[in-house]
Amino acid sequence: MTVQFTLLISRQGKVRLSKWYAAYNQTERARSIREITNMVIGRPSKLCNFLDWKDQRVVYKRYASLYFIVVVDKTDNELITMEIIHHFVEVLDRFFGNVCELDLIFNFHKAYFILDEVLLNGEVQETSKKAILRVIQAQNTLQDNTHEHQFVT
Amino acid sequence: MDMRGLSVFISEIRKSTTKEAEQKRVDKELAKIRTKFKTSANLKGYDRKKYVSKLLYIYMLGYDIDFGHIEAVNLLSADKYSEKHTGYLACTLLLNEGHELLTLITNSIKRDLASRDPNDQCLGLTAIANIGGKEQAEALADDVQKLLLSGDTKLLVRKKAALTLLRLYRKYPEILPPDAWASRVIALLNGKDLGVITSVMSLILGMVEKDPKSYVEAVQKAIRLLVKLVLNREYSNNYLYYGIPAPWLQCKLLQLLQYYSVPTDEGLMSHITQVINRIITGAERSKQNDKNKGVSKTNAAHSVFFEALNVAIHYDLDKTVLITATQILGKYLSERDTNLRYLSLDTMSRMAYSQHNEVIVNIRKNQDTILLALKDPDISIRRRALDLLYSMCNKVNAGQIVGELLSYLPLSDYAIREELVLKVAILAEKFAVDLSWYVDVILNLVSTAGDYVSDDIWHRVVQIVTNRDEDLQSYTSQTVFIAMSSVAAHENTIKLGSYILGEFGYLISNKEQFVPALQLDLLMSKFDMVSVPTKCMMLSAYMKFYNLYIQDSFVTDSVKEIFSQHRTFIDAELQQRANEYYKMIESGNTKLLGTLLEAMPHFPERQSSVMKRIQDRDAERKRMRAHGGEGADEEEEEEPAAFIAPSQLLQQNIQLATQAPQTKTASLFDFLDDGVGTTALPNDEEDLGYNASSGDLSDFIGGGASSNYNAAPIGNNNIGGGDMLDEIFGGVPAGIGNNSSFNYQQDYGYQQPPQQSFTTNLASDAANLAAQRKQQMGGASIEDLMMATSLNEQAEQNAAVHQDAQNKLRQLLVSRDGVAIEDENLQVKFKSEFHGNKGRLNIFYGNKSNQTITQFRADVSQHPLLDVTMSNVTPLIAAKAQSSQYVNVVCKGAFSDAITLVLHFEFNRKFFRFNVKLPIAVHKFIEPLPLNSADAFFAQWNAIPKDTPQESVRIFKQSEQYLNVDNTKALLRDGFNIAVLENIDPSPLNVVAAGVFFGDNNNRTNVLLRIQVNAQKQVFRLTVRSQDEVLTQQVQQYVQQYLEGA
Repeated sequence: MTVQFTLLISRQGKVRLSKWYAAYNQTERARSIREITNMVIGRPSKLCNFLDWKDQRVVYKRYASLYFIVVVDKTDNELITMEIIHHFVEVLDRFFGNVCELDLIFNFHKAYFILDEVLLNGEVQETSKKAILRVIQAQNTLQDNTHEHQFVT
Repeated sequence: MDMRGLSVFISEIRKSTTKEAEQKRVDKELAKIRTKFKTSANLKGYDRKKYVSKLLYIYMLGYDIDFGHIEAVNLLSADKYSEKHTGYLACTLLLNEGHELLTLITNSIKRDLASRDPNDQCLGLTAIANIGGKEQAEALADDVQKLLLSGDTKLLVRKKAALTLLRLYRKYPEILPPDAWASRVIALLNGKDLGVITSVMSLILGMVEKDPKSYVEAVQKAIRLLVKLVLNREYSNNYLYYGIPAPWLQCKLLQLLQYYSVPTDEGLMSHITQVINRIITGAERSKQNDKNKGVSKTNAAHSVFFEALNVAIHYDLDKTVLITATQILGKYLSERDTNLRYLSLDTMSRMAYSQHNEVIVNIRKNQDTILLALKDPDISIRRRALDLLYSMCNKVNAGQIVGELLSYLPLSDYAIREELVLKVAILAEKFAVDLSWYVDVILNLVSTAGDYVSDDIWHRVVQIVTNRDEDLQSYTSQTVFIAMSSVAAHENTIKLGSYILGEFGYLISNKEQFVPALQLDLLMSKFDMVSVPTKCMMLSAYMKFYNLYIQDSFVTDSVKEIFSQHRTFIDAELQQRANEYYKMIESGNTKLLGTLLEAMPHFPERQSSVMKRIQDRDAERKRMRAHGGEGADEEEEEEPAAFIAPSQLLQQNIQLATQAPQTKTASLFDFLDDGVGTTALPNDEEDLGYNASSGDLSDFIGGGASSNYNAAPIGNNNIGGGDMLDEIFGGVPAGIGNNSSFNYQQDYGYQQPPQQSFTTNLASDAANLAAQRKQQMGGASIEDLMMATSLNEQAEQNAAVHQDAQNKLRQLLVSRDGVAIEDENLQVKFKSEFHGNKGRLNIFYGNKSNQTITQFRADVSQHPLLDVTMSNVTPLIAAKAQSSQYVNVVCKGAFSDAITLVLHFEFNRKFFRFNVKLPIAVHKFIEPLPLNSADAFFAQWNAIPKDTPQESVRIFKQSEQYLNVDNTKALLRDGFNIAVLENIDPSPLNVVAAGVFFGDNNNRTNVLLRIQVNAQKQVFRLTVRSQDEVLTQQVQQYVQQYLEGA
């Protein structure tokens, strides 16, 4: 179950987050984003959430104005990949409290951090929401304590 | 952590209405940051963090960042956690794998891994997991491994360590040699925390993918975990995801099983079967009951459901599970949930290869729905429907499916058209009842979607048509002529047409509407419109026309005219052809022309390159996983039906041709042996010598510009590059300049022996053939002498093997399976089963050598009292491979002699013949007759009078082995399948036994035995009684044989 890369793309096609787990150079990244954005945006909502793309499979889901896109191997389980997206969205939602696109724009560094807690090296890292939120909250306090020296938990 | 400056910057960027404004703002900011980095040597940590964050944001917007990396690296060693954190984020985003600065950060990471603060450890691990490469693998693998295995590590860190290690393993597998490592990592699955187990499973899966053997132990652990989660429902509620316990972990566990074959342990097997059943029923229930509980619930349930199905498909054992699954999937096909429809189609297309016919039948019930799905508005659904139609196609529904696909072709998306064309071509070939249908389908493909028809598809048509009879050839010529006549004929049609008409056009030239002039006209009318490579092909076709219709001055003049026009054509290839052909015509040597332009010989039968393409593609596909080749193998077995049909001789001879070192002559002989070469015989019977030496040839060529002319009949060297070209030229009777072979060809053509002998005994005939060749050649060549000596050697060899076989037969007669005959190259094994008067022997032929065994054939001798039928066996056994065959035997009465299996094959250019006795004797059709009391036994015993042929009494010496009465009993019970009756004979040393023999229509005959022992003299007295004297004799003989130990 290896995710090749994850994208968050707005309805206007702006990249809000992109994370690459396999080696893609800058040109390949740009091309992939363009191709996938074209495929996904404008697909009617009734259609299925899976698309063939090159030798891989695109699994995507739209939440409000954002498309969450995950590209996986063809051998991967499509539904569980979709639930990774959902799981990630739920964690974001809990953390930001009713998350919206703006939260992710202004706090992009946090979004990246949370994504790393959900998916590391393209593999799902933690599936318990509780466990993830505990870690993220702890990190958050740690970071806000700008003047405090590191402490050992 | 909040950085006001950053937020302000982001808002400003967002305010810019045009791309230019944004760019301007970004440039301004970049300039500012650059100066800050350059000038302020003592930039505060906070500011550095802020600027790096801004750079990141700019980078995310898609702008190139060419500075600031070093600032990010510096942040890594900051004391403040928030700065360090930003540093790591920046490094993971800005530095790709292989970036030169990575070396710099490796040390920082190492330090953080060694830190006692789990937060630092996490940062370090995350960084490696994101950007680690081979270099990091070498430098840091040990540290990461320590973190994973150490008992002191926090769970949070351990999860990350497992996934980070997976990254490093993928970059550089040598860091984890499986010997010591496998058991330790698998032991981690015993832990309690499902989060850690999930991560460790990802790691194990990643390693299993590369090296399944080393991690076999994980299978039983995986099954136990599944039992715990699914059957026992033991888990922490934190891991309950929409009512499903840890669906991610379940999927991973189920995926692991697909790398391994069916568990041999029955307990494990029954557990996994239960798990699969529970998952399937659970998912179906969730679909019915939880409609309103949100999509995540059904998704979670079904993610596990489909993965469990994958395991069931992979095992392909339990029919009921698969049948239930097809029913559920069938329902899902008309669901509104598009995802479920998609996955059902996808899963069914893998199920369609099941060994259980009912499963396939169930899938086919949905054929109409699936055909409808081809027109679904969703391209993803259309693709899966196409895949499924392809895999569910068989002889029965091929007509309909191919028809539907053809009519769908013009409507299909461009994105899948090529695949569609390929699949139609394969199905048409694979399931063609009539090859003319196949030709029609391909021509139809070319005319509707010519651009998507790749060359190998029409090359295949050429191959098939060339290797077939004249009916097909003339049919194809006609159809292709008509197809080409269309104004809009596609260039691929024209290519095919040029080749076919050039080769086979003469077959229809006697019909008014296809006379040579019209054929030539048709080709010429297309000439100006086609590309140069096609023009080249057409020139060759013209040349063939010239040769075929040399009497027709219209044809010859036109052809000569067009060659002369193109002798100065700008394209070198075309020019060369025109020149060479022109010179050939000018030479006026019609005999030589005849030879050069004779019909193309048959292509060697082999796997379709079209088929191969799709196999290659399939091999990469869906979870064939451990049995990666499985799909491909199946395909191979299903060689196009129409292709196996030609007398196997052809195939075998071609094998011979390719095996024999002196290919040219050998293949020539063999082509002739089959009468295949008749069209290739020169027309001129008188001039056998064929003085067309290479000198003449070079005369021709001298005029042209050729440097690489190939002395073979002119085929179309445009056909296929690479290997096909080789085969066209390589396997051709390229006899020019080799007088002896031509003489021989003539001789042989007239003295060919009647062919029917071939079918009876291929191997010996081949040997005869060699002898005949010798006679005809008027003396023995060295090669023939070699062959003769090798035959002698072989006879000796055979004797030894046969002796060994005798011993093995003895073993086999009292057991169900074993090796029957074995030498250094071939092993023959039997597995047998008998029930009543029926028996089945599975025979396995194993090729132990490194070379292919060819012309393999097995025959059995007929027997008056045994009905013997046997399955076909493939004529080729590849190196180190095994092939099998079964023999069914029905017994019609007590018999005395055995059946012989005769094996013929060619190996290493020698012919072998082995006689193997099948281990079938009367007692194989005996089953135990349990008689409970002495009365019952004696009633039977006394019913057969003494001193008649129905009774047989023998006294003989005990062999050592049977001094122990238990051995005797075991022999009768296990070896002869006769019931040993206790407490009937008062002496414990004596044995009484009874069996029942099944003859014709399962008529039973009882057979009774009594063995008395004279312990002093160490002799047996064996008495056998039955109503059938042959039966009595046979049982007595066999039992005695073993008891004597002779």
